[in-house]
Order: sequence, then structure tokens, then C-alpha cells
Amino acid sequence: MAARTYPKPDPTLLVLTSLAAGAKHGYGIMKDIESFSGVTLGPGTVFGCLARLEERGLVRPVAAEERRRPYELTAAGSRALEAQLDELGRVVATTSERLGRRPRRGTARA
Amino acid sequence: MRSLARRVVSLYPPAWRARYGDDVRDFLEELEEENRPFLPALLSLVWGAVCMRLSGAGTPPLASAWRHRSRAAISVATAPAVLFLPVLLAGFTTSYYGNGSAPLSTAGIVAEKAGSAAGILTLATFLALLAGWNLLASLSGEVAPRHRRAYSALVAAPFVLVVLAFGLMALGAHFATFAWLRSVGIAAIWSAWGAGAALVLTSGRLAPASAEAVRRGARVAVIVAACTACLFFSLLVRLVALSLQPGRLRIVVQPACHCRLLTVVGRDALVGSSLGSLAPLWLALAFAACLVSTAGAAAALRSGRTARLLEPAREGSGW
Repeated sequence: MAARTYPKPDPTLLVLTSLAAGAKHGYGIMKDIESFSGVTLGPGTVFGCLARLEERGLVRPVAAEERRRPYELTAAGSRALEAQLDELGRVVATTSERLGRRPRRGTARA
Repeated sequence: MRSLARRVVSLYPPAWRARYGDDVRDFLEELEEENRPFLPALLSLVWGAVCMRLSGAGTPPLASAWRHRSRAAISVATAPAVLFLPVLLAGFTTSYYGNGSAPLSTAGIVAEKAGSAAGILTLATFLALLAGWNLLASLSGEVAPRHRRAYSALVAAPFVLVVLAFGLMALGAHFATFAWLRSVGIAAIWSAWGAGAALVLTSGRLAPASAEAVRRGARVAVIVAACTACLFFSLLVRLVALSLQPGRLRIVVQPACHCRLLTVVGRDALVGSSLGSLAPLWLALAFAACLVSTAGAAAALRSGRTARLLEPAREGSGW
């Protein structure tokens, strides 16, 4: 795989995106992020993000399955993620326009 | 590896550990079960612990948690000063500059490198202190108007005193008649810091009454404490390296308590004076800054205003 020459996405956004698909525990979040973005987050980053997000009320723990404790998005977390996506959407649209690229099919319909 | 991981988790703040410690251990176990590389995870945890200590995220907005942080920071910053104090008080003498062109032994090279590191760390400590004092000064607007002048004077005092003390020491170094001024300069720094720290410790009313002030104070203290600990380690390495050169190291008791720490006799003389003159000054600075920044916070916490002091941090208010 070619070496990445641009910055990694914001880990907080990646964690929120991962939890948007349903509750997950720490290791599950890491694997999910790896599968959809190709970015591997270490435990320090994952639990650092979870701590900050929980402090802001954007995620919360749910009842533990076995020993592992999953986390899920709160309503405020969903709203924060949607707001971030709106901001990103505007950036993507502007970037596409300036680079002279057509928006992807999915993006155009949305 | 598991025991190492457990030790790394213990680097995190206690409140964070109680909250996420088990989750992290489970994470590491799953990592191990799937035979994934362990070292990057460990490094991530170490870096995460440093960030968590500095940011305060994960520490609940409780007075006791912040008081604990303040005390821990003060302890870390105080330890080097306490450890070095006997050496400093044992006395210092004029350093001996040997033949600089002669090759250094291995221990001499280590000592020289450690001395350079101490110089860089001194600068880092100084920058951290500047940032800390700047932050404290920026908070003066939050002090009750009747205490504002006293608080501003307290924030400005270290700069004035350092300039004054340096002036006294320079005079003492260059004019034999005024040699005693060097001792006066050093004594002035120590006693002024002590008095300033005592003032802040006893006067909770001067402390800025806001959660942000408490958090900033504690963060500054942690940074300064880390810099001081690194500086101490660097000085210790130099001291050990120099002591490995038999017959070349001599610590001479001098009642005047001049700020020279080591006398190295022979070709491996390594500008011992810089170590001696900088160590007490910067350790005192770091110690006092920690006392002022965290004691102010602790005093505010003790003053019974904790209920409204410690609301959750505003989003994006960190620095």
C-alpha cells in the first residue's frame, strides 16, 4: 500500500462515525474504523476520544455484554455528527468545484 | 507484556483509570488474542496518558480530583528542589576550567551532553514558566477588583525579582568588592519565592474564582513539573557521569553558599559553574511557579466556592 502523504482524519469524527452504526466496545470501534477508513487507532487514542466525548455528553456507555462495555451515541452525539457532516459536505462541494471535479453520484443525489 | 500494559495504564489519572481501566485491559487482551502488534498500542497508551494528564479530560469536575492534581503537581515539582537542596547547601566553590583542547573521556562526553540537555531543558522550563505566568496574568480580570492590584503584583513579581537577582549576581561576579552581592541575589530569590508562595497559600481570596482558572493553574503546574523533572534527571546524569571520573570531582563546602556546584579538577573540567548557577535558580523558579499556580487553585477550592467553581469544562476551552 502506498504511504499516506496527507493528514489522517480527525479521530473523534471517526469514533462518532463508527458508533453511528450501533453500540460498540473499544476494540470493536478500532476494528470498524480500520475497515471503513484504513486508519488504525491505538487504544490511547480510542479511549481518549471516548473520554472526551463522554464528558461532552456525545456518547454514553450501555449495559455491559460479558465483561466488555459498549458505547453508543447519544441524541446530542447524533446531532453533533450531523452538524460535522454538513460542514464536511460544504468543504467537499467547494473542493470538488475548485478542482473541476464532478461530485460523485451518491453525493449528487443527496 | 500484560504486566507492562497494566503499568502503562497506571500512568493515567486515577479517576480515568477507575472509569476506563478495565476497558483498556480488555482491549489489550483482544489485541493479544488476535496476534496484533503490541508495541504501537503501548506507545499509544503512553502518549494518551501524557495527553490525558495535561488536558484533564476524563477527570471528573470534583473539587477533590482537582485538589489531588494540584497536590501531585506540587509534589513532583518540589521533589527535585528537595533532593538538590542538601547538595546546594553543602556549598559551592569556584569552578576550574581545564584545557579545553584535551580529549574527553567517555564519562566526560556523557557529562558534557547531559550539560547541554540541561541547558535546553532550562530553556523549556523557562518557556513553560513564561506561558504559565502569562496565563495567570490573563486571569487577573477575574479577580475581585479590590484584590486586582495585589494579584497583578504577584504575577509580575517573579520577572522583576529575576532581573534584580541577575543584576546583583552580575555585579558580584565582576567586581570583587561586591562579591557578597551574589549571595544576596540568591538569598533574595529564595526568600522572595518563599514569601510569594506563602502569600498565595494563605490568601485564598486572591485566587481567581472560576473553573477555568483552576484548570489552567493545574495544567501549568503539570507542565512545569514535567520540565523540572526532566531538568533534574539531566542534571543527575551529569552529576553521575562526573563522579565516575576519580580524582577529578570535588565538592567543596563553602559557608557563603555561592551558586557553584561542582569543582572538576583536571582536563575534564566541564564548565561546572553553569550547572551550579542555573540549578538552584531554575528549580526555585519552577517550584515557586507550581506553588503559585496550583496553590491559588487549591486555595480557591478550599475557600468554599467549589460548588460553582467546578462546572464541566466548556467545549474547546482547552489550550
